[in-house]
Amino acid sequence: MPEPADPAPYRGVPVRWGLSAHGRRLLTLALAGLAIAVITRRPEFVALSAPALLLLASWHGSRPAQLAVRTRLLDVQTIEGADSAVLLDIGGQGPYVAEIELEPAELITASPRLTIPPDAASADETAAGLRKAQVRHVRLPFSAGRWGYRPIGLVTVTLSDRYRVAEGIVHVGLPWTDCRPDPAQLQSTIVLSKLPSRLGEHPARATGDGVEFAGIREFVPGDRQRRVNWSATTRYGSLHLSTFSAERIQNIVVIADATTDVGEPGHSSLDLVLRGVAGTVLRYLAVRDRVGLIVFGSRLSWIGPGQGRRHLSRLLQLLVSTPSGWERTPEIARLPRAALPPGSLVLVFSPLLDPRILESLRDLRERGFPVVVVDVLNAGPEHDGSRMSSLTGRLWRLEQDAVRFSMTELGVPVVHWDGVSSLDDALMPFSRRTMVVRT
Amino acid sequence: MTSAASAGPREDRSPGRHRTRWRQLVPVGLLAALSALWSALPARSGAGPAALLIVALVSAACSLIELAVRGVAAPANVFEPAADRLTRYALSFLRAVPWAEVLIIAAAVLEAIHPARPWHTAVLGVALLGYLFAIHLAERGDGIRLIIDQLPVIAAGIGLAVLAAGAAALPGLPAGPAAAAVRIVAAAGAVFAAAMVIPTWMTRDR
Repeated sequence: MPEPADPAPYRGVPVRWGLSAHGRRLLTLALAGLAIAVITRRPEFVALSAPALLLLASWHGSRPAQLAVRTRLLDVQTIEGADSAVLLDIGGQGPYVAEIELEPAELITASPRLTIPPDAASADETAAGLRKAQVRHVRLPFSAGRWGYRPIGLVTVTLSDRYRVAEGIVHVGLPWTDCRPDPAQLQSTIVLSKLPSRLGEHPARATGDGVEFAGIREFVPGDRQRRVNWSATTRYGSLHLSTFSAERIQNIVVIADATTDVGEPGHSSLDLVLRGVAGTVLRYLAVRDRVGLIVFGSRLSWIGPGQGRRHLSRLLQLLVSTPSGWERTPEIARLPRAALPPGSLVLVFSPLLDPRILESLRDLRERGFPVVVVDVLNAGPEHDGSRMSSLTGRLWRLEQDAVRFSMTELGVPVVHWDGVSSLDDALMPFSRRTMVVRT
Repeated sequence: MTSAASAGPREDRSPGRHRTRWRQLVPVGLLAALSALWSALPARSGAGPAALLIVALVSAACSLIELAVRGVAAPANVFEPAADRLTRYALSFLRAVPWAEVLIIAAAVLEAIHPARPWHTAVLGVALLGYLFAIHLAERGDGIRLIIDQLPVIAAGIGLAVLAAGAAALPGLPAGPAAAAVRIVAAAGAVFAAAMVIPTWMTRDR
């Protein structure tokens, strides 16, 4: 993996020294024995204290007052579930064993603690200056369980002396990680039958300057001689030339419905929306289409179609940074015209629970856009087994079926995606052949 | 909709809160029970000794349970059911009280209410020391290597304990071959302890 550039400077972090839990217990034993020996005038109780006192005598005063610490993230942006690491450089531990543990924040998984043996430098050298001390480089693996801009946690460094009686504790705050959703697997693409007249990589019905063979026709003056098809010319006895399909670009607008989030965290509808959108955006940008994004959340956010890696980064950033929820969402039935170039393919990832997104879909269809909805609803209302609960659950399911049926009747196909299988399976009916646009 | 609440015990990922292995709990339990019972022997009648013994045994049991549930995180749910709430309170209580220290004090006081018996006290001291090291190993999840590194100091400490017990036994000993043997053992213990302490003291970390 690449090393992160521009490392931050070292900073001195004060060490908080004290007795360890083991040291406190030894001190209790020593004090209890001595107190009873003095109070009861029975010297044999010194026998209780003697071993503990000897161990406590190993305590000494010259301890490093601070550690030189530098933290960096191996990857500025991570993907949910993927391994990343915090790079920790630590110096000035002196003759103390350092135990390093990443205390993970919520939804972060960290590796077990690491133990670093003592420095070659003595405690006096360490106290005299950090420059003399040896610097250790530690890699603390972690992975974020869910997308979002989230804290990683704290690194706790515990310095222990040889007898584990004293310990010094240092807490080091870590930067936040920008975790992107794990993109859904998508290998196929949906290609429309009508494409805008802009140079791209999809073979269109019209003939043009592409590389895909379209047919043969008779030569007319002005045609390029290099296109002459000599086999056909020989067969027909007159000049014929090959024609090729024009190569056109396709505009894709992906709509992410973040108004509702239902289901188990990690597999909720919002998780599936973001993963599906991330996979779709990646796939269509990989085949050099122009991809735009509209996010329905607590506000309407959008980025017009574009291409390139920087555009991909902008799209993913918009995806994870738009707050979800429906409370403050304005009327969103009419989508902005600039976000929807004419002739765009509109792919919608939604659980279809918010009536406003249904209105928007109707509006899109009326404006002539080819729309495909990927239904990510995989949860239902819980019921307690009673007759009433069963009936309400059935009514709810009937209502959902009716919503999907009405969409299909409008000419908006709805496919279901469970979030586990590939998106190719869900979109197969549309990706196997060019999708005919009906306005 | 399906609730987002998590159920069941989770692993506590805070520092030092790893799960304790069962085989590390066995010596802790044995040494805790041995210390509590040894300090109560011979059994004395009365409310005070009985109460102290109960405190010592409860502390021993609780320290063992605290180690066993060390890696278990308390349920943190906004709409927690009563069972989760009780589990959280129980875990908080177990972790709030220093059970090992309570056991040490109870055992020492229980020993003190008995008549003077230096060797019995010395054995109790060794048992309590072993108990403390067993807890230390179980908490950290380390192997016996940690003890091996500290063996000279521990041996020196035990030598000092023998010396202290021998010194306490000397004035009360009657004349005769047994007393002479005890004096010889005490002197040997003193020499052994000095032989262990001096190099350890000289090579300690300054």
